Parts: sequence; C-alpha cells; structure tokens
Amino acid sequence: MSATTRRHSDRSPRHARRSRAHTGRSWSATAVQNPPVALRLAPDPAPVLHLAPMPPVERHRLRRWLRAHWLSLLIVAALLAAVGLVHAIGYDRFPGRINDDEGTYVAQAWAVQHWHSLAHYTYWYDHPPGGWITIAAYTWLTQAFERLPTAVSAGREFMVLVNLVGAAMVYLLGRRLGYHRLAAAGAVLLFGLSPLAVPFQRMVFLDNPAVMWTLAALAIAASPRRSLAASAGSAACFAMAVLSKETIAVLFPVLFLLLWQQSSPETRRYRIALFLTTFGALVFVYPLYAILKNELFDGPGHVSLLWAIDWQLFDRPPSGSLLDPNSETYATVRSWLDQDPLLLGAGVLLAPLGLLMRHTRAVALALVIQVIMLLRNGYLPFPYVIAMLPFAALTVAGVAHRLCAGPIAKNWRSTAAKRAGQLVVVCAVAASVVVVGPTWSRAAHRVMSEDDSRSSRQALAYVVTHVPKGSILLVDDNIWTDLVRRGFDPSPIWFYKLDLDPAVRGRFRNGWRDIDYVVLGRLTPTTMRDLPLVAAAIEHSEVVASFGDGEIAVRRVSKDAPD
Amino acid sequence: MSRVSLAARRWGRTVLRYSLVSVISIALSQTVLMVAFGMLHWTASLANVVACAVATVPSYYLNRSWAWGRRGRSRLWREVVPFWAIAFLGLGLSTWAADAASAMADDAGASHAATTAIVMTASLLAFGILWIGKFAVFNALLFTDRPAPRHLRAPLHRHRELVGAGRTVRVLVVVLATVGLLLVGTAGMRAGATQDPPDSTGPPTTGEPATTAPPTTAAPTTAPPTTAPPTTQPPASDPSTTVATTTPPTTTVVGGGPGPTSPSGTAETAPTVTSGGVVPAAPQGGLPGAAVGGTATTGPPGSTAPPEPPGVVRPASFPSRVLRGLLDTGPAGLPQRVARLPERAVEEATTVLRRLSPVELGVFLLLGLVSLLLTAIAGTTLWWMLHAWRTPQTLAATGFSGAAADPRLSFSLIVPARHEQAVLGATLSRLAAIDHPTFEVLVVVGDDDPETTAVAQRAARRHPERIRVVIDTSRPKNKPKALNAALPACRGDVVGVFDAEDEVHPQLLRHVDTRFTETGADVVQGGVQLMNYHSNWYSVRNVLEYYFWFRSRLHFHAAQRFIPLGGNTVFVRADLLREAGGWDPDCLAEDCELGVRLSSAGATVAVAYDPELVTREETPATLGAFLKQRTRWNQGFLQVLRKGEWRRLPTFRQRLLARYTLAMPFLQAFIGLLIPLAFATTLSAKVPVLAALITFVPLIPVLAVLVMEAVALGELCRNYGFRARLRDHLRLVLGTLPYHALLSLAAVRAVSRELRGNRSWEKTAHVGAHRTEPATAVELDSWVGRSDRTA
Repeated sequence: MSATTRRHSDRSPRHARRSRAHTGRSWSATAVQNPPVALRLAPDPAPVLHLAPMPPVERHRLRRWLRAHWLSLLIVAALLAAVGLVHAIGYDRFPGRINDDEGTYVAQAWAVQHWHSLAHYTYWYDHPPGGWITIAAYTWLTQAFERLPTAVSAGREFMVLVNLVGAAMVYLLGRRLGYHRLAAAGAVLLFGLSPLAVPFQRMVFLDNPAVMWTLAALAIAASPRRSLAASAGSAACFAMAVLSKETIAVLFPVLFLLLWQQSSPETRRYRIALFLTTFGALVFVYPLYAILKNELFDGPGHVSLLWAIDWQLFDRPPSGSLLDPNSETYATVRSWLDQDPLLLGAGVLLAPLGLLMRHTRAVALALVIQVIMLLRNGYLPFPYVIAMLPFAALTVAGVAHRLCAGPIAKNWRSTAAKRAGQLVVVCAVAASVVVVGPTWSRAAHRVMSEDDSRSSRQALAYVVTHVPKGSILLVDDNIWTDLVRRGFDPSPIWFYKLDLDPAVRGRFRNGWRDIDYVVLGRLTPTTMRDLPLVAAAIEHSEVVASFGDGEIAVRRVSKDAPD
Repeated sequence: MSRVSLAARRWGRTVLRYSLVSVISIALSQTVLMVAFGMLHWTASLANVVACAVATVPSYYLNRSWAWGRRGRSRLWREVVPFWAIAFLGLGLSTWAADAASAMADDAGASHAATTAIVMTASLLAFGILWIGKFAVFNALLFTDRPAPRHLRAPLHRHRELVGAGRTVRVLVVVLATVGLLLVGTAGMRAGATQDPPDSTGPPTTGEPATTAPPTTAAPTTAPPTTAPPTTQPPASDPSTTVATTTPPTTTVVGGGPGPTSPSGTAETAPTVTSGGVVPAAPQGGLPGAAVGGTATTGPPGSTAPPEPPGVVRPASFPSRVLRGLLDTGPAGLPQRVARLPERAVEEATTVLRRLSPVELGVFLLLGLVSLLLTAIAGTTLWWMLHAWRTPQTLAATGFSGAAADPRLSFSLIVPARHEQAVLGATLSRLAAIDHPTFEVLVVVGDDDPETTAVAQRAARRHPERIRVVIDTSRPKNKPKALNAALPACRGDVVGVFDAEDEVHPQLLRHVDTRFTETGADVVQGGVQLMNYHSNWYSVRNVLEYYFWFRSRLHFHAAQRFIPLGGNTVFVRADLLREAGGWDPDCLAEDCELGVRLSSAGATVAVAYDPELVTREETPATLGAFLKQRTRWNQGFLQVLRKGEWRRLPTFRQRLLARYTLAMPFLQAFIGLLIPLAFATTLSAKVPVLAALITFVPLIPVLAVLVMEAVALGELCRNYGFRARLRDHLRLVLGTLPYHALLSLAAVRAVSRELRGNRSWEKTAHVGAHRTEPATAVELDSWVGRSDRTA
C-alpha cells in the first residue's frame, strides 16, 4: 500500500530481546559530553524505516449490515407493502374535500414552486413554512401537479409517502427501544391500518410531516451507537418537525428524555449540548427570517410573527372542556373513539403503565403530554389526533412486549409471570381481532373504494367548461390552485381573503358586486358572520349547478340586485 | 517455444477472449434494448443509452481481468474513465444509427416489431465497426503496465493518481460519471430529436377533466365530520401588506416548468430543453403514447366512468379499478420525468439568475462562497474537536489501558533546558521519582548558560543513577539541536521528551510502557494540560485549546495516520528515531515536523490521554510571550508545509488533511476576521433576505464550538477540582474575538518572518505559575485527589 518498504518480521520479539538484556544493569554515573553531531536528515528518497504493522482495515460494512438485518428488512418491506396499499389505493377519493386547509397547504406549495414566494397570498406566520416547502420539493421532483388531476391529489400523494416513512420509523423506533420484532410490527400495523389513522393520515395536514420528522428524531436519538452524530441528527429532524408545525414542540421533553436515557454518562453532556445547540440554531432561522423582514414585532402596515403566535395561543375560541358533554371537544373525541376505539382507547389506558417501564417511558410520556394538552380547555384543532396515533401504537406494543418478555429479574416466579403475561397478551390480541376485526376490514374496504371527492372534481370540471376565463371567482382553496393552473386570470379569490386581507379588498372596491361567480361548499353560520362580504355575495346569487347533494355549489352573482 | 510465437499466442488468446466478452455484452445490451424499447416503450435513444450502460459494467470487468489478465485495483483515469468514454462514444454512433434506422422504418411504414428488429440491427452494425478500433486502444493504452513505483520517483512529482483513493470515492466517481454521461447523451439525443415533426401518437391537448358529467346528484357523502373547521383561519384584523406580495406574477410562462396557461396532463412535458422558456406547440417527438402516464388516455378516476347507481359496488370492478387507479397516477412515466430533472433545474436556475442584476448576483456568489468556506472550516473544527466523544467506545479507547506490572522497555527522557533555573530543579526531582525500573534522564544545557547548568549538575549529583547532563555546544541554539545533541547518548529503547517546566506523573512511564507493548506502536503521545486557567484573560481559552487538542483532536489525527506530534510527553522508539535522522535542526516546530515525517513514512502513532496522568504545564505568562510562542508554532507549521514531507502520504485524503492541518493557523486567522463580518452582514439591512440567511449558516458551527468549550470547561473543573467562576465563563465567551485576533496577528507575524528568512528561536519564559509550592527539591506528595488548588 505505501511505497516505503516495510518489514514486519521481528516486531515485538525484538523489544523483548533488548529489554531482557537490560534488566539488572545499572546506568553509568558519568556525565557524558558529546560532541554535537550535526545530524542531517536522510536524503530523498525516503529512508527505509522498520515500522510497526498497520492495523486491519474494516471492509464490507454494508454486506455485514445486510446479513445482520435481513429479517427486519423483510418484515419492514412486508409491512410497508400492506400499509402502502391501504393508504395508496383511492387516496384521492376518500376522505373527500372536507377541510379547506388541504387546499391552502397545496396552494402555498404551488406558490413556492412556481412563484418562489412563501404563500399564494401574504405569508402571515400562521405556521412555519417548512411543511409546504417539503411538499413543493416533492411536487417539483415528481412533477406531481402536472401528473395528477387536482392539486390536493398531489399533496395527498406526498402524504402517502410521508406515512410510509413514518411507518418505517415506527418500526425502527420500536426495535431500538428494545421491542420484539412482532411487537414492533404490531405497532406499525396499528399505526398504519387503523380506521382512525388512515383518513387523517391521507389528508394534507402539516401534522403528518411533523409527526414523521418527530418519529425520525426519536429513532435517531435511540441509536444504539450513542454517538454525537445521532444527537445532532435527531436535533435536526426535530427542528424540521417544529418548522413544519410549531405545536409539535410540546413533544420536546420526550425527545430530551429519550436522549438522556440513551446516553452514557461520560459523553452525555456533550450530546445534550450539541443537541440543544443544533436544535436551537436551526429553529432560530424562522424568527431570524421574521427579524430580517422586520416582521417580528407587531406594528402598523405589516404582519408579525409575535402577533401570530399570540393569536394562535390565546385568541382562538376555545372548543370547550372535554368533560362537558355538550362541548365541541367532547364531540370530536367521541367521534375519534367511534371510528376506532382500539388504538386510542388502549393507548391512553395503558399510558400510565407505560410510564412506569423504562423502555416505554418516552412514548407514553408523549401520549400523556398530548392528553394533558387536550384537557387544557383551549382550541382543539381538527387534525390534533394525528400526533397521538404513533405513540399510542408504540405504547400498546411496548406494554404487550414487556408482558410477554416477563419480568427482568430471573427467579423461580419469573417463568410463571412470563407465561401469565403471554397468555394475557394473546387473549387481548385475539379479543381485539374478533371485536374490531370486522370494523377494520370494512373500514379498509371503504377507504379504498369510496369516492367522496367526486363532487369537488365535478364542480371543478363544470367551472372549467362553463365559466368564462376572465370572470372573478370566489372559491375555497381546494380548487383554487386547479383553477389558477387552468388559466383563470385574474386568479380566483380565496374567500377568506376578501374580507380579511386589506390588499385584496382594495382591489375590489365595489365589494361583492365585483364577484361574478361563487364556488363554495356549505359554510357555518359563524363563518358567514365573520365574512360579511362573502355572505352578501352568496345572498345575492343564484345556484347554477350543485354537486354532491348540495355539498358544493356554483353560484352566479346577480350584480344588479338591490343591496 | 520461441518468444515470438509465445507473444502471438498470448495475443491470440486476448483476441479470442475479447471477442467472447463482446458477444456477451452485445447479447446483454440487446436484451435490455428489447425490453426497454419493445416492452416498456421507451424512446429508442433512451433505451439504447440504458442498454449500453448496463452492458458496459460486465464488459469492463471481464475485459480487464479475463481478457487482459490484470489484477488489483482499477486505475480511475487510466482505465475506468477511458473505457466508459469509449463505450459511450460507441453508443453515440450506434444511437445515431438507431435513430436513423427508426426514422427510416417509420417512413417505410413498418410495424413495431419490424422497427424493433431494424433498430437492433443498426445498433449492432455500429458497434461492430468500432470493435476493432476499441481492441487496439485497449491493448495499447488502457490495460498496459503501470509506471515506476512511487518511492523511486522524486517526491515532489506533480502527477496525482486516484489510485489510493478510497473505494467509496472511486465508486462515487464512476457512478457520477455514468449518470453525467447518460444525461448528456440523453439531452443530446433529445436536442436532436426535437427537430422531428409532432408524432401522431402524442398526448391529446385537451385539458382534463375532459368530460362533462351532468350535474346530477351522485352518491351521498358519508364521511363522519362533513365540514370540519379549517385550522388556518386567518385572523379577522389582518393588517395590510405590501401589494407586491399579494398580486401573483402574471401568468406568462417564466420558463422551466409548464406554464399555467397550458392544460394539465402530458401536454406539459412538451417544453424543450434547449430553448429555455418558450412553450412550443409540438409535443416531444418519438414519444410512444402509452409511455407517458395514463392520465391522458384514461382520464381521472370517476370522471369518465359511467355513473354508477349509488351504494352498489360490483365485486368484479374493484380490482380493475384499483389497478387502473394505480396505473393512472402511479409511477408511469416517472423515469423519464426524473431523467429530465437536472435539465429543468438548470432551466429554472438560469431563469431565476437572469432576473437578478449583476450586482445582486455578485453579492450572492461572494456571500455564498464565503459562507461555504467558513462553514467548512468551522464545521471541521467542531467535528474534529469532538472526535473523542463521538461514541462511548471512542472515548474509552482514548485512555490508557493500565500500568504495566512488569515493564519491558527502557526509557531515555531528554529534558532540554535553557534559562530555566527557576523551574528546572523541581522538574528533575519529580522526574527522578518516576516509578519505573529502567529509565534515565538526560538534561541538555547550553554551554553559555551557567545557572541552568549548575541546577542540572546539582540534580545529577543528587540522583547519579538516573540523571545525566549533556552540554550542547551548537550555534545558534534551539530546541531540536539540543535534542539531537542528546540523542547519541540515549541508551534506552524509547526516547521521551519533556520540557523543563513540566510536572510529570510518576506512574506515567508504566502506562506508556503498556501502550507500547499492547499496540506495538512506533510512537506514543501522552497528554499535556495547562493548569492555570485563571491567570489572565486569554488563559482560559489557551487551557481549553490544549484540552481539546490532547483529549480529542490528536486521536483523530492518529486514526487518520497523519499526526503533528506535541513537543512534550512524546515517546519515540530510539532505533526508529535514529533511522529517521533525529529532529530537523532548522525547524521551529520540530515536534510537528517529526510527527509529519514519521507518519508520512507510515509509522503507527498511539495517543493516550488520562486526566490523572497528564503532564502539567503553564500558559505563557505575558501577552508578548504568548504571541512569540504562537508565531514560532505558526512559522514552524509553515516550514513543515513547505518542506513537503507530507507528500509521501499514500492517499489523497491524507494529503488533503495534511495541507489543511498545516495551513490551519492561517485559516483560523482568516475566519477569525471574517466571522464578525458575517455576523454584521446578517444583521445589516442592505442585503436581500436570502443572502442574509446564507451568511447565518457559518454562525451555527461557531456557536456550537463556543457551547462545547463551555461544556469542556465544566468537565475540566470536575476532573481537576477547579472551580470556574462567572469571571472565567465571561472571559471564555467575550475573549473569543480578541483571542482570534491575537492568533491572526501571530499568523501574520509568522508569514512575515518566514518571508524575511528570520528563523531565530524566540524562547518562552517560564515562571512556574502552574505550581503551588516554590521550586525547590521537594518530597513528592500523593498526586491523586488534590482538590485544594487555589492558585
């Protein structure tokens, strides 16, 4: 390898020979006065040096890794195939376009990709832009907007991918926490196939990429090598999660706990310090952006980050207490449990038990934190449940694993306890298969075959063919991007912006009379109250076409009607 | 057997094997071509490119090892790259032939099967013509013998091979070259192909959803929450914004992706690569219609299907609908789209760049480059600084493994001393008290230094069996000459070097002995630690610098097999030292030079650090002394860099590391001045937001370095029983910039001295600030657990 000659022949025996000759001899006491020998360096080429043999080089690491992990890889492939099929078949058709946020996020992603701006209207710091920037990156890479029929479909395709990665991360995290392969596989199946999970995970919510990044951060933090790079990587992933959805930051203690648990004492302080520094520095980019645009503090004439944080935390109307049967919170949680009692119910019930066991402490803590936030009496966002699902799955699987594995101390009672635990788990699994199995399979069939977004597509098709291109349209964001891509110029107005954005309102001085067509679904009375111009436009219009039994209607505004 | 016929037989065997390899690779490439063009309906050119690439890999290996009988590693620039280049040259020729044949067959109105056959024949013919030429080139140029071995060539040879480059690097280069050539080839083919008239099988230009389903009531909606409140409801009092951001740019196509005016679907794959922005009317020629996604032909699910009675799902239609759904929006056409990505990226980048003014572009480029450089420097500093704590196993491996019960080596410890009468006596007493059966201490004093000589001779009289005095009569005097003066008098197996002010742990030699015998290393470098972190404003940073260097960074260098040694607590095998010729008498950093010379020749260096066993030293007492010390080190590094011994290192990575390490003092000076500039730029309002964000990036590793230094200060305090007060932490944080300014000054001073040729040795004075008792002959207390250090 090196060009200089090397002879390995007599390494250590030479040492031994020399030292054996030395023992027992005493050094002479005279001071030696040596004439200084001008030692020249050896001339080129390099001198022949008798050197120690080199240590062996590690080779074929990939091959060794594959040989060690082939079973897990096979299991993960099978699991991802199952989860992928259920998620991917009919992802665009079910659930339907029931939430306008989906359209907003893909519209913003489209704006990032095509207009190189953070949002299709002014970006007002409602959420950090990381989520839709990743959607934009995906759509650019795969040309999703061009391939797929609607813009929301592009976002949903990305969500399928995100959830596949999330499922793989659930398996990885489970294994790294010490679960048996079956338990980790069970966690993935619970996470990926539950009827509560699939509709929410298909929809384009920022919670989905945030949860994926959080699971990645946890899986990396649980790395068995306990390295510095793992803590930095985990911090980077969690920073991406927070930059996708800021509310996921409540799970910070979970990540900290896991990192602390998984560090050895000598390197712990460096790991934690690097973790905190990386996370802090990366998350700081968001307020730094606001500072650089002079939009950090509230002031006249511009949006502000601090104002948006304040609004999100305090100014939103509360959804009521969980304990009050008439509140919105109660109704929402009830609907979750109706869709699938197993995952969420079992997860929450087993969470206290999970807190006691070291291996499941982190994931149980994540679930407990979110349940506590739920009890807080604040505003409950619609996709809140998404962040609870993987931790519920992991808690259930962790507790089951621990019951099957038996107590840690091995004594004469432990075998009996182990058998009892295994019996309990087997009975529980059998019972759940029997009880919820039919529900799950019915739900799976439903998510793969129902077409609930047909009315939205039909409305889009109608508008494209029947409405002249120069008209001013008032639409919701689910079809906004599609209309812009099909050439509606001036672009349609997202209906919220007509009342709430002064710049938009400034362009339409005649108020609702400037609108030609309104394409909206049914709006709640509170929304109509908050948006008087939109309400007026709807009031002075007539229905030209209606789809989905009134789910979405195309209205033409009669401009000459009296006010 | 005559020599001629032997050569001829060998040549004939090569020809035969080459032919067989050609047959194999042709069979392989034609199979792939048939699959790609015939079954997957890719374009003829793309199919040909892929077939060629697939067939070249086994062709290369078979030709090289079987036909020409070469073994060992492939040479990247002599064998791999020319082989692939020739392969793609042949591909270019055959692709042109294939395209021409395809066009001819289309003109003649042949069926698809016949076209496939004609294309295959044309490709084959073109390859055949090149076959002879390739053989000649391979025989004469590629697979011939190597040039002369490296060690017989002059060491400053400029030619660099990537022979020794790691396997990963080579694989990566080959993959990138292949991908690059593939894309270039594809782009070229398409540039040629866009001249073709529009194909009749192109995608339809009508937008989709195409049908007009009558607005009747469809299946009832059954989703549980029908209209959920959106979570991003904008606030009621949204303040006004600048108008520019709310009005979207006009819908004219800005190049790159398809413009919003064109309908969705496959028509939008039409824009050309080369014209950069205009939406042409003609879709891409030569596209088999079914290759580019089914969206055009089958429409979105649901809109073209006949209206079904609500609620009834026919069992037979579910699998077919599933399949159709998968094919509609699935990965059909994805390879081509992904293959077009780099071209689209380049298009979009050029459009964006064209919109910037030259000044803005210049600012962006400058800031980007500087940020990248600073991030790289700060990032590598951070990573190598933390090398020891990478994993718990790495940390455990940095320590000594134990004291030898029966030490097997004999040590000669050289202590060069010049004007060190204040501290020398105590040092020699401690050295004489080391717990090891066979060692000697050689004190080197100058013939013009009577006070130090007197102290040394007193110590030699007290410990006659251990200490000897060597007089150095060289002119002018420096440390390497002193060391070389003592080297002939060394009688031990291992030569160790200590400074005159060191406090050496009595158990050190036993541990070093174990390290030598257990690793079989040629050199063992122990740990040195400065102790007086409280003395003045820069001493905290100086102490931490030493801590990271000996605790962590040296271990990284040892693992990379390129290590600038320390001048202290370093042990080298005596016979190796003599073979290598001792220290360089003219170098100002003789320790670094020795380390570079030995590790470049391939010596194994073991570094070991233990907080108990470190040799304790002091920081330079005054700012002037510190500056002189750093100037000397920097100048020494510069000398080592210029000397070029590091060029003997075997791999490119090691040489790069050598250059980087030896130039580090100057790079640090550079970043020391540029970091505050970056900080100021980030906060200044004149630069665009993106540029400011770019300049923020290098601040992240700098911040991390600062945090790690604070953490290490805590660890130091725990290890040595210090108590770091707020004053020390403030000195750490606030002293960063002045310290770097000092280092920059030292770097500049070193460069100017080197340019002037001033190589005189500016010695550092020592006052014993790291010691708590006066410098007289003392009894040695118990070393472990002294927590009352208050100095």
